[in-house]
Amino acid sequence: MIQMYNVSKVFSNGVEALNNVNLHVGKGEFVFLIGPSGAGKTTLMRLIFREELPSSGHVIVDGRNIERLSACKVPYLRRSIGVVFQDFRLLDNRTVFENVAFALRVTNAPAADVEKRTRRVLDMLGLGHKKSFTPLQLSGGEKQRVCIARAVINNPSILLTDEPTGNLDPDMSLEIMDILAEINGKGTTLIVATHNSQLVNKMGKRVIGLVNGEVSSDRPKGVYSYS
Amino acid sequence: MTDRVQSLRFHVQEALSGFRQALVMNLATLSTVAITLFILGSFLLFMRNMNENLKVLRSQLQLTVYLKRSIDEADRKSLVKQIESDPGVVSYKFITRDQALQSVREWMGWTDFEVRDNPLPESFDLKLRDGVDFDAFVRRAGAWPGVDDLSVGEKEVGALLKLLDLARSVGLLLVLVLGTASLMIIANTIKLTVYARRTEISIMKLVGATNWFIRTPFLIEGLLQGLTGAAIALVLLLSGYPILVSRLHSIAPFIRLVDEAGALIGLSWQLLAMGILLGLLGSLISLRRIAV
Ligand SMILES: Nc1ncnc2c1ncn2[C@@H]1O[C@H](COP(=O)(O)OP(=O)(O)OP(=O)(O)O)[C@@H](O)[C@H]1O
Ligand SMILES: [Mg+2]
Repeated sequence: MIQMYNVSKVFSNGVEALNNVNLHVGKGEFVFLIGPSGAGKTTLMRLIFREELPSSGHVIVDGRNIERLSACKVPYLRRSIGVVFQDFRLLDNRTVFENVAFALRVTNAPAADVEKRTRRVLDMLGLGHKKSFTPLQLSGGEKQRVCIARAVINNPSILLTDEPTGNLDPDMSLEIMDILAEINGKGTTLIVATHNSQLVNKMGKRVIGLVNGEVSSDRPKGVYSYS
Repeated sequence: MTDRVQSLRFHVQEALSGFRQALVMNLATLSTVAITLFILGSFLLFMRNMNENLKVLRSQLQLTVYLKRSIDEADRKSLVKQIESDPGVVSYKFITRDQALQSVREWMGWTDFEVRDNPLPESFDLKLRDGVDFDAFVRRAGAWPGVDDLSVGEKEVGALLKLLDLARSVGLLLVLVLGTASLMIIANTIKLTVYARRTEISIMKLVGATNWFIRTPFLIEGLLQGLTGAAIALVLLLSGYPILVSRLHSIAPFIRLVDEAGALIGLSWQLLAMGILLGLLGSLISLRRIAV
């Protein structure tokens, strides 16, 4: 599903965020991405949905080489990838419902579908009763779930979540992780970047460690350790 | 079909909310566009009227060439050849001294005015081709053999033609400058809206909206500005022009003003088209940088 060959990323300010990364993630896999702050986890995800291009090497997503993808095809790549951002990126002037429906509306989804699918996704994430709130009126965990709702509403084949349990209490973290596992169970390839060692250890999934932009470890049923 | 309608509704809503977010700025832009198009419209009407009046003048564009008294038959013949071979002349008519006297008599109303020694020279009335370089022609004709003098009154027509050419150039320059200015102003206003909506835009991109989908509300905003500006300019012109026509008619009835409906409808289309062009171009300029 996702392949990286000798991928390096050097930002224009000279920071080398990724260095010669080689990586394969198969269809339907559940992968934790761990590593110290600044290791390049977010950068790696941004390469997958082509928010950034690699400085060298190749990134192949679902058979598509992202550096060769023409500009007009990029939106269609992104429709097949859901992203939950570290910093949420919600629209504070729109309701929860509109934030989630936004992803459908701006991709020309059929009008009849928007209402129905948004409602269903919000119910699935336990946000049905908060649908007319704005993000400013929500708790951190609720915002996190709104982000997940927006990321999965297009039925993406890949779900990238960046620190989905940051700032959440252990119970809420576990709840979010259950939701993600459930989505993964339906066949969505899932990548979770996290610093939460307890969760990683508890889930017993594949763990890829990044240190200084390099893959330091890659274990099939790993624990939280990137040395 | 309903999806199209839904999508269009989304875009128009976004465009209108963009307009509201920067109301003062947008109203300022609207006024600039309206003023530009008003001036353009006035200019078009002015030129249209001038051309109309000019057509009349041009059809009267003729020149009288007076012959020397001492001219002999041979010289007269070679002069006729010169006239016939000159590309600036459409037709000519020979006026004998008696005919000249007769027309002066008629013109003065002295039908029984007797002259013993007719002082008038023989002459040729030349009808000139439309668009001929008047000054050059006068210089050329002055050098023909046997020519004594040319009627000077017609020189004013040439001067008028020159003045009109100048007016046209100045008007075009003015319209060009104002057009560019309003283009820039529209582009800037939309750039502000784009800036105000940068979060929305970045999220749209991340969830896979196409570039054209993202651009559409801004194109609609530009289009609305152009069209509304044109509409305001048109209302002002179409209500003001008939008043001008009737005023001018009572002061200077010899000036012919175009006032048939056809001309004004044509003008309306021209201004609306200019408004659409300004609006779309202006927003396209500011949208160049919205890309994946
Ligand atoms: N747009 C950018 N321009 C320049 N440097 C950047 C940019 N984005 C990230 N970096 C740098 O790249 C390195 C990796 O950043 P990245 O955000 O990928 O780390 P991370 O592993 O996600 O960290 P964290 O766990 O804190 O989220 C950092 O040194 C960061 O300063
Ligand atoms: Mg990060």
